Amino acid sequence: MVVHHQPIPAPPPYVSPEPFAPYGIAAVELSDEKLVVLGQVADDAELRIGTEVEVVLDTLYEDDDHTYVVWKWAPV
Amino acid sequence: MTEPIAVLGVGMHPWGKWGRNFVEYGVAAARDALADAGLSWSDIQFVSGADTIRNGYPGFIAGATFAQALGWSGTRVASCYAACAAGAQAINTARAHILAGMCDVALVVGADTTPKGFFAPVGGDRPDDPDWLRFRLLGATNPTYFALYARRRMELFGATEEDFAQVKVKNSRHGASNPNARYRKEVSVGEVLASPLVADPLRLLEICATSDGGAAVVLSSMDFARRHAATAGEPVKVVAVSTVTPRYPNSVIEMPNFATDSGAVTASVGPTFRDSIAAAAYEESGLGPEDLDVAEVYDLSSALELDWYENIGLCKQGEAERLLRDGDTALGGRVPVNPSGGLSCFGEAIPAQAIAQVCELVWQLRDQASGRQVEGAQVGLTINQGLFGHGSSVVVTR
Repeated sequence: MVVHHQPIPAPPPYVSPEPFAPYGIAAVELSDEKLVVLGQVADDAELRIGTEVEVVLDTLYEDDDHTYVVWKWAPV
Repeated sequence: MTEPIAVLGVGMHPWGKWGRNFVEYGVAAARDALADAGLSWSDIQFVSGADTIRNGYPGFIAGATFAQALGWSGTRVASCYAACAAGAQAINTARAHILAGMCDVALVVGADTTPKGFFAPVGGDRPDDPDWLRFRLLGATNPTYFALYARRRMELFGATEEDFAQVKVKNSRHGASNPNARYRKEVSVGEVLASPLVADPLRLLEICATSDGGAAVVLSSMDFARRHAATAGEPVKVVAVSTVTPRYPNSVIEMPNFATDSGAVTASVGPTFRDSIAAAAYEESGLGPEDLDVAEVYDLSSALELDWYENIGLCKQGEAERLLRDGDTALGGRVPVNPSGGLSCFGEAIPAQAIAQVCELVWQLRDQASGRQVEGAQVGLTINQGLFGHGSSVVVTR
């Protein structure tokens, strides 16, 4: 796994929370499927390369009608 | 091996943030290249445009846009888009026409006007477009990918933030006297490391800016070049153009995707995509990394330049930091890399960039790169990569 920290917001169509919160992005190797998948790090947890993670569903953003969810990576 | 073609002329509009119509930059570069070749626009039999997607319809049909701006002449035309590799594809389209005998002399032009800040996907709601989705679902900018590649180098090879900063320091020194470069100020390691963090571990001074600029080349058959003979002595030749795509399964994350191919059914064998770009150029030219005198590589970030050293075979994997520290890739070293200053000093004018790399090597091989000359350069290679899997590499010889 490779992880990095994004200290400033991406431009739209990224929907930034208000106020903006820095977020981590991890490249995670799935051992059985043998592929690497990018995802945000849930709760901006402090991850290190080699940490085992699992997929969680977390809020991407909300509007008046819906809460949109997305996959994220969280430490096991 | 493919037959060579001649580069009769090269030209650029200086890179900057000029805020004018991209067509102006392309026309200025084209006129410079034509003057350099000793030809006029009416001599051109084929015009090959590298497209820009951020300037409306004229950008999508750049070949015709430039042809009209230079004055309709009835010339044959093609336009192509391949992201950062668009310029190399436009060159290769012209080369194919020349080698097929469909024209003797061609003009290749690319130019761009860019918005400020991060590149964002083109507008509209497009959830079936990976370039839109990676922003929406991940907030993954281009520097996000550069940062992941940089972290990988730190983990695998022990690269340090200071190593990355040293790449910027080198390129800033190279580009300081380049009249076409946008940033011409030498910077120190301390200044680089004090600049704001954009995508950890990369800082503002280590990430290529988005720029306005234009570049053009005039290409011809060797027969035409000998008859014309306007350039002093033997012209610089294009001996290979690589435009390869990845092989399945691609095990390295490719911008703008957010997953690799799966290796569960078929394991990834052979060279990585980036390695294969240069390999195809070497194979076509019959040359190898040991023949190179100079290279222009696509330093979208300081750290990425180190990856390219290995991808083009200047050293083994994991040795790029040592090459840099030993000064091998600085002017005066064994194989100077990015004598122009690279993207570090130019910023990125997407469709012009791969053409600009060739312009620089032509000046180097003609001994015209004042203030940044690689002494005695005879063989040069450019390398670049367009998102969605576009390889781009051009080999030129004297």
